[in-house]
Amino acid sequence: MAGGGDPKWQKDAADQNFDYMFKLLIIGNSSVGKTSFLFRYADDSFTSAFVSTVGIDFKVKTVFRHDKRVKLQIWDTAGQERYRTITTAYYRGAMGFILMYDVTNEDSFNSVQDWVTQIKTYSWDNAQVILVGNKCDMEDQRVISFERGRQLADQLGVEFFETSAKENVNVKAVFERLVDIICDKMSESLDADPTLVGGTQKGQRLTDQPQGTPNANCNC
Amino acid sequence: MAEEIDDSDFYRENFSADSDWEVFNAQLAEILQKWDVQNADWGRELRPEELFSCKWQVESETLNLLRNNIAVEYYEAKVSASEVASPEHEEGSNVCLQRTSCHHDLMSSVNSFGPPISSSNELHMLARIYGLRRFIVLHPVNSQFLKSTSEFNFFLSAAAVSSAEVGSVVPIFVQIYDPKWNFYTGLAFAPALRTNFRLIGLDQPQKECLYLMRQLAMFKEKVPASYTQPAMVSVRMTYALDTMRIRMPMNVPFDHGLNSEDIVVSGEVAPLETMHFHALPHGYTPESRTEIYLVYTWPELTEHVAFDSEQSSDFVPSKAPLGQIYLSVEASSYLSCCLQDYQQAGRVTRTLESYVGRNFSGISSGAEAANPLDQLTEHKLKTRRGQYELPSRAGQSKRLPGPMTENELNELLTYLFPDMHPETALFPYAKESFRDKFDPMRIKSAVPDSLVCRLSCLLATCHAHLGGFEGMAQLWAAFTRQLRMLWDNSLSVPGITPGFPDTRTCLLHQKLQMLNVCVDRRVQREAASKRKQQQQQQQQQTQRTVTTNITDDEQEDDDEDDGEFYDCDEPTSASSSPIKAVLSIRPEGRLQRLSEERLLDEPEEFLYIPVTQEPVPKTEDQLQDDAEIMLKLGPGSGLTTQMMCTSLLSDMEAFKAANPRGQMEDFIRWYSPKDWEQVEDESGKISHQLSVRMTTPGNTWQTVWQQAQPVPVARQKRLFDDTNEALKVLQFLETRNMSEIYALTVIPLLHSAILKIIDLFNNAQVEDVFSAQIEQWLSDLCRLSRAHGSDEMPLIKGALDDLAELERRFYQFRCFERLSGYPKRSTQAQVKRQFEEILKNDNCCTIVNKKLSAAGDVLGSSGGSLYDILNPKQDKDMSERLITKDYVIRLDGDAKTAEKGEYLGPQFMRAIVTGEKLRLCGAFTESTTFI
Repeated sequence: MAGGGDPKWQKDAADQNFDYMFKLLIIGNSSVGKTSFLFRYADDSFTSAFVSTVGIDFKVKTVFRHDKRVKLQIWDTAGQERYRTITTAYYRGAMGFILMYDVTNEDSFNSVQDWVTQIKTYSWDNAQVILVGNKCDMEDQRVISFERGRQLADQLGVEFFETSAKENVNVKAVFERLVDIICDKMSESLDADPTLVGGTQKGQRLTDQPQGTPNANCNC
Repeated sequence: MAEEIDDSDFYRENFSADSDWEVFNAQLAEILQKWDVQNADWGRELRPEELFSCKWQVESETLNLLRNNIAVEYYEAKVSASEVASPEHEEGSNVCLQRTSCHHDLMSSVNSFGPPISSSNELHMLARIYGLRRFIVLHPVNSQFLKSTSEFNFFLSAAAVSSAEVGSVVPIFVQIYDPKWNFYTGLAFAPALRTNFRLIGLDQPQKECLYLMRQLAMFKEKVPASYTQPAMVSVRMTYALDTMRIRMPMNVPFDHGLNSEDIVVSGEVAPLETMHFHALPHGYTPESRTEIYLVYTWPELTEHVAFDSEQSSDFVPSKAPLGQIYLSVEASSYLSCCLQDYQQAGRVTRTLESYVGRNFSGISSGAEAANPLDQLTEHKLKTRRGQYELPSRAGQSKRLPGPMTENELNELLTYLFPDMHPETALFPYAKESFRDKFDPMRIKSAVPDSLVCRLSCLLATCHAHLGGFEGMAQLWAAFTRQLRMLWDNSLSVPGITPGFPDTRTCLLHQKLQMLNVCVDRRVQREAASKRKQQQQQQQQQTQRTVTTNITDDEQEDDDEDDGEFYDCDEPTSASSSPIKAVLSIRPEGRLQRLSEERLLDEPEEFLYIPVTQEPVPKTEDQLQDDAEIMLKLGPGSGLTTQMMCTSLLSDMEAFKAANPRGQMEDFIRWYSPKDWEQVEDESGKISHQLSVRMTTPGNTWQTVWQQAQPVPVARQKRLFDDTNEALKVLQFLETRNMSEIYALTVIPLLHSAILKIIDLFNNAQVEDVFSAQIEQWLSDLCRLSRAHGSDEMPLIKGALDDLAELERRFYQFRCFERLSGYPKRSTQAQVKRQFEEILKNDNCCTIVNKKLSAAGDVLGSSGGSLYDILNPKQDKDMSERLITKDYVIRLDGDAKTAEKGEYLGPQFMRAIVTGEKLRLCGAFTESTTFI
C-alpha cells in the first residue's frame, strides 16, 4: 500500500484530507514481532525475516472509522535496551500504545510492567494502551497462557488481545479497537471541556461542580 | 396604517396584489413556522429559579421592510427534559388543553424574581418580567426604533396575523421606543384566548400607586372577567447596604517606586501577604468594591393576607419569610491585569534586535563565524570552573539599551542568577526542589521557582510595570547575554533540573537543560584531554613506543579534543592476552567484561563491553524536526534506517576496537541477546546461532558491521557536538522575537501565577474554600500546556478569565468576611460555610429562611450568628436603604371553571417600584370566543 519512495505516498504525506491524525507506538521487548505486526497491518505481508529495527521506523495508514478519515502514523520501535533513550523520546504526543510481548517468551511478558512504567514516565497521561500477546500461532512453544495475559491486562487496566502477525489473527482488530478507544476518550474530554464546546458564560465556571474527574488526569 | 400600505404600493413596479404588510406577514409566518412555534407541548413546570440558571438558545433572522431591517429573535430556555414521564397526566386536575407554556409560566411563582445582580447572566428583560421560557421579539435594527402608535400597531398586527396563521402559542413582542428603555408590547394566542402584554412606565405616579393596595385595585379593574378566587401576590424588597471596599494595595516586585503607592481611598487597607516570593505583582485596583444587597422575599401570599400602603406596610425585613444577601463584586487585581496585558506580547513580531540593537549578545558576527574552539582554548587559560570573577568582555559590559537602569537590571539578574552575585542574592535556588521532583499535575512547564519560572514572571512584570515591550526585550537580552557568559566559562545554568532535556517540561526549560548537558560534556571532555596530556607526557618519559595509528586528518582533529577513557583498561588486557595473541591490534576502549562470556573464535579471550558514546540528547523541537524529516523521506525508504544507523555504527566500531577478534555474533550477544538463538538438533545437542533476521543477506546489521572499522569512542567522530549544540541553543534564544518569547514563557508564567494565588490563599487561610476551582484550573492548564505545538500560540484567554474570576472571588470573600464581623463576631468556619453557598449560588446566600428554621433546620445551627449580624434590628433604618420593590399579582382561572371548558386564562401584573418611579407590566388574558 505504501511502498518505499513511492510517489503516490509522497502525495499522501502532504495530503491533509483526513479528520483526525493519531500517532501510535508499538513497543515491547526485542523480537516479539512488532515490525511483523505493523507490516501485517499496513501492507498485509509477512516474512519471518524482517530486519531488526534500528532505532525507530514508521508507517502511515488511513482508515475510516465512524465516517471519519483517521490517519494513523504508526511508529515501530527497536526493542533493544540500547535504544531506550532514542525511542522514549518519541513517546511524547503518542495517543495510543500497542504494548507487545511474545507468548512464547517469558522474559518479554515479565518486561510488560517495565514498559508500562516507561509509558507512564514519558507519555501524556491520556495515552491509551492495549496489551498484545503476539505469536499465538506457535501453540507448541507457548509459555504464557491467554489467562495470564488477560489477568495482567486487567491488573493494568488495559484491553488485551492475543494476536498472530503470521496467521493474521486479530491484527486489524487491535488497531481498530485502539482507534475506537482514542475516539471515545477524545469525545469524552471534548464533553468535559467547556472551553472546547464554547458557549459558557463568564463567571459560571467557578460555580460549576468540577467537571469530570480532574484527578483522573494526573494519577499517572 | 392603511395609508402607508397604499403609499408604498403606489411606487411599486411590481403590480402583484401583495402589499408590503402582507409580504412581511408571509415572511414572518415562514420564520415562525421554521421555529416550530405551534408546538403546544409545554413540557413541565419550571423548577425554582430555573429560568435564571439555565442556558438560553437564541435564534435570529432579519427581515427587510421598506428598506428597514427588522430583527426577529426567538428566545428559548433550554429546560432539561422532565424526568417524570409526563407531568400532565399526573396532575390530573390541571389538565387543560387551553393552557400553553405561556400560561403556565405566567402563573408560576417560583421564577418571579431573578438574582438582583444580572451581570453574570444576560437574561432577556422579558424573561425576567414575565417569567417566560419561550418568546419572540421583533425590533428594528441599525439604531432605529419605533416611535408612533401607528408603527406599533403595524407590527403588532403583523405579529398577530402571522401568529394566528401558523397557530403559534409562543408570545410575540414588539420592542417600542428606545431599546434602552425596555418597552415592549406583545400578545400570545391560545385556543380561544388571547393574552395582551403591555408595559408602561410612570415617572411620577400618585404616591398610593407605589403600594400593593392600590395596585391590586388597578389590577382588578383591568381583569376582563370575574374570577371567583383571590389573586396571589409575590413581593420582593431589595435593600442596598453600603458598598464595601477593602484596599489591598499594589505590590510590584523589584519596583521600589511603586510599592509605596498611597492612594487615599475610603475603606480599610489590608495588604496581601505572601509566604514565598513570586516575581509577579499583586493587589487590587482602588476601584475594586463589593456591593451588598439584602433581598427579602414573600414568595406567595393571597391578596388579603398582607397590608401595604403609604401609611403602614407588612413588607418589612423582620416579617419576611425569606431573606438573602447578594454580593456583587467588581474587583480587578494587578496580577490578572498583568497577565491579561502580557497577551499583547503574543501579537508583537518585532525582533529583539530592533529593541536592543544588533550584537547585544556581545559577539560580533565575525567572531561567531570563527572557530569556536579558539574561544575555548583562549579562555581556558584564564578561568576555572566555580570562579565567578570573570573577565569582562568588551561586548558584554556594554549597557543594554532599554528603560531600566543598570542597577535595576542587575537586581533582576541577581534574582535569576543568584550564584553570580552571592553577596547580594536574596533568593537562592532551593537545591532539593530540582531533584527529580515530579509535578503531580504534569503541567508542561518547569519546576516551580526554577529559572524558567522566575524569568517568565519577570518578563510579564517588566511588560506591565517596568518599561513595556522595551523592558521585556531588555531583560531577555540580558538573560541571553548571561547565558552566553556562563557557556563561555563552562558554567552550568542555575535553577534548572539536571539531566537530559525532558520533553515533559516546557521548551525553554529543555533548551536550558540542553545547554547544561553541553556544559557537562565539555567539562568532561576538557578534563579528559588534560588527563591524556599528562599521561602522554608520562608515557613519553618511560617508553617511547606509542602505537596509535593516526592516519587521517579527521582523526587527528578528534584526537586533540577527545581523549576520554583512552587506554583505560590496559592492565586487564595485558594480563588476559594469550601468549600467542597477535598484538598488532591492541584492544581499546573497553568498559567491562560481559559477565564471563568469551569470544566465539577466541575462547581464551573475554568478551568486552566497549565504552560507547552517550546517547544524543534532543529537545522536543529537534525531535519534531527529525520526525518530520523521517515522514518526508517516507516509511521504509531505508533513509530513515540510515539516519538511525549512525549510533549503531559507532557502537559497532567501539565494539570492534574493544574486541579486535570479535565477530558479529559476539556483538549481537551483547547488543541484542534475543537474536542469539538457542537451537537443538536431532541428537539433542544444544547450540547457538544468529536469528534469521540477523543472517538475512544484506540486512542492515550486517551491512553496518562490514562498514565498521575498529575505532574506540575516543577517536570516533562525536555523535553529539556539545559546542555546536550549545551555540545553537544560545542562538535560538537570542533570535526569538517578542511573540516567540511570549510563547516560550506563557505556560510557566500561568503556572507561577496560580502558585502565587495559592500562596496568597494559603496565607489568608482560604485555600480550602477555593480548592475545587483551583484543581479545575490546574487541570485546565495541564491540558492547555500540552495542547499546543511548539510553533503555535497557546490560547490562554479562557484560563485568564477563570483566574480573574478566582481573584474576584477572593476579594468577595474578604469583603464577606468583614461583613460577617470576622474575627470578632463570627468564626472563620461560619464565614466559609456561608461563602461556599455564595460561590455555589450565584453570589447569593440565605440569611433568613423561616420555613426551614421552623423545621429546625440550617439556620438554627449554622446561620444563627450571621443572621443576627446581617439582619438589621430596626426596620426603620432599613427603609432608607430600600431601593426596589417588586410586586407580582397573579390570578388564574380556577380548575373548576377550566373543567367546564370555561378557562378564563391567566391574569398577571408586575409593578416595579424604583424610588418614585413605577413600571407596570401587565399580561391580561381575554377570551376570543365572543369577539
